[in-house]
Amino acid sequence: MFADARTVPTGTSLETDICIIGAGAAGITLAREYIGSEFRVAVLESGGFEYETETQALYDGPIIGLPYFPLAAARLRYFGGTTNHWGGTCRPFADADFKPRRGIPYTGWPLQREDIEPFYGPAAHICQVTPEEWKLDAWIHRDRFSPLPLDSERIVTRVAQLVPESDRSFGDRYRKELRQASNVTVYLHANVTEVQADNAGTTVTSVRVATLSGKRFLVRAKLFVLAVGGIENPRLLLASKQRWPNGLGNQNDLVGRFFSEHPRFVAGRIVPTDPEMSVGFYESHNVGNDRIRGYLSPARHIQLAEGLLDTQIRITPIYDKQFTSAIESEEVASVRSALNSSPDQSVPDLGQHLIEVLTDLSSWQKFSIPGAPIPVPYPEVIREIAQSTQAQTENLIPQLLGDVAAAAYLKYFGAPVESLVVTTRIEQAPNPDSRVKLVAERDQLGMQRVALDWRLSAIDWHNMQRALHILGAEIGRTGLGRLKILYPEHEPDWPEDLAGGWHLIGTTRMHDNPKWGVVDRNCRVHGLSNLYIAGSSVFPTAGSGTPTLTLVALTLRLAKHLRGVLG
Amino acid sequence: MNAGHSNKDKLPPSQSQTTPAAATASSAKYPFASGFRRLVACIIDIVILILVILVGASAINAVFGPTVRFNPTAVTPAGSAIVDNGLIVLNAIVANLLSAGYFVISWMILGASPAQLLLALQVRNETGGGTLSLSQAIIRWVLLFPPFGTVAFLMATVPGAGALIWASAPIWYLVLLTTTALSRSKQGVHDRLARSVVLRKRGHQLKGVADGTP
Repeated sequence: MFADARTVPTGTSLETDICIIGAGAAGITLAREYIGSEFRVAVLESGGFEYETETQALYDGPIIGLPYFPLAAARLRYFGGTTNHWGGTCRPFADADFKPRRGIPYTGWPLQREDIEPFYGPAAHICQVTPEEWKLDAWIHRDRFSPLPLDSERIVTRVAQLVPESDRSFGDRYRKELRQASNVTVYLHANVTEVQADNAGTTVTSVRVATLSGKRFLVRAKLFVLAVGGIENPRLLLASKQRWPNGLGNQNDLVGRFFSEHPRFVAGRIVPTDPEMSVGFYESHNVGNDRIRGYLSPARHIQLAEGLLDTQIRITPIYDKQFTSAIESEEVASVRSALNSSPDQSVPDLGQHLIEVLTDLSSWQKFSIPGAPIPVPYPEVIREIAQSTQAQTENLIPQLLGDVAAAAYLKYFGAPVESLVVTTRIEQAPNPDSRVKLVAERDQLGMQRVALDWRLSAIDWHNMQRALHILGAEIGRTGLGRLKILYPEHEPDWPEDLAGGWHLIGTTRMHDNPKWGVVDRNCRVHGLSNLYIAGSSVFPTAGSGTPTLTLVALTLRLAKHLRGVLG
Repeated sequence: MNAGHSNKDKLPPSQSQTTPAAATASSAKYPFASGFRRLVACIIDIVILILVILVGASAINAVFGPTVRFNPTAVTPAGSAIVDNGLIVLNAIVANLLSAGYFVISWMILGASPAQLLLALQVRNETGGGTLSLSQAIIRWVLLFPPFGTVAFLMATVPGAGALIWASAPIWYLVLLTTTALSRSKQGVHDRLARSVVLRKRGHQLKGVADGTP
């Protein structure tokens, strides 16, 4: 059921068994696990059902390190959390992602993949992707595209599944279920400003809740779970100074440190030997009812042998400028928008879009002779096609048939490639100096804001360069083309197009030793008996893929653990 | 051959309902042509006509230059082909004249288009059984080959009009096929309005067809 925290009288003390702070992917996943159980669950969500500017502004904070998205834009503060603008990419971590890397400090999880393996299947169902379909072989026999013929002992092709856009918001998908759950109460507009502990500082007794309308109340519970993301989880701990001046769980000054992202930028360009080279496998495409995208990575055994962290290499074809213009056209955007909307959604300006698309679809008219009984091309058009190579003929499609037809042709058959843009997404090496920390400025609720000081290191630069060299050698060896790496090998100079992947990782990292971690292997905050953290802030490292599927799996594991704790 | 003069007082009851087309067929001793045969003839005519129109367009190209010029340096599809609107108009006029001439003249003079002649078909005035008049032939031609392309070009400035016009083409032809197939005398909408009937010639031998059914 849902309740509005703005209607809770100030001074109230609510009692529950499990208090979950945050209703994003982790919070909703956790809450759902207790629906129908004997436990009372309270979920405290800062926002409402829709984006609210005032609530979103609570996320504001300065960027003092490498350039990054504005903190109020990198996350969404309403029911469903950041899944409300999630890209939908899913892939589980591999065995190697949990292992330490030779020569790279702070790597390695206290868990192994087999500890999370039982939860990946249910997590896939929650995320709306097909479980067990992660190996390349599961796709290539039924895919109209093929991966590049590279030596898998050097460079592997991996598959990520993509959740349909209409299914990505956990808030939309699971709202009804939570509404009908009698033992789960989701309090909207409930902002937690402090976590309070007992006198010994070892047991959390309550959380302070404030609304923007001025209400103030407490929630008491047996167990508390922070699930507000990689910036807000540490913020809340750091701001909870009642018992510990440096913040809750921060005895070893680890809270907020090791902020990691998946830094990405254009790192190279491949000039193909054959423009008809098919790279459709590496673009988002449908295989039956599923949607996938392939990407490249150095083989795992090479990573482990050389002490490299993972790198995801995406190759994006640059087509003839006509095709590029076609697929970026408004008409194609109109079609995509209509196709991606769910049946119960209305498409704004549908009539206008329809007219634009119809006009585009009749582009061929100007190339056919009026007065002929059926559309007949002019002789010069026939001559142009007859004198063209296959690639040239294909490049005429946008001109002759319009943008929508060109985009459809590209989608189903591919088109001649002029070059391939190589974008790397790096598994960032754990860096204690990359961090979030409190600043003096306070938000509307009186809570200190955080600053993000994102830093990368020479290790990250080396990992990226090494991955590209392995790729380049393999591209050359197979005769597929030549790779030009845009940046020098030994001079880390992060490019202007450096960006994150919207992944906020590592700021309450996991380690069995409290000297090296904020939470233990069961996501319990060291030094506190009943405070847990869910989400990617507990990841010590994060592979090169997206964290969502793994954080959902880890949350399911946590849910099972908490059942045992509560007995 | 006059048809339609049946004296209702003298003829048996079944023949009191004879249509002009049926009467024409009866008096000519020719059955109504099957839809399939007519469709094949139409396709052959279209192929021939396309070749003729292409010759015409090539002649325009040779004399006045290309109607479409491709621009390999353009960065968008919109700028990639330069079209001469004046030459489009000329092409439209020539193509329509060629199409009209091909069908109208052959129906009026020969009683059949070249492909219809090949397949032993005759297009006759439903009343009297003679060849079509000029007005009949023009009406039939316009209805059988509506100027979708020409109208779409003329309405090019109206967004989406061209697509809607061409989208109506298969609908129109479906109407023609359906009305032809469902008609006892195999007269589609175009035949009804042009008052024409298409018969199948079976040599000079009488085949004893009394009511025009195939």
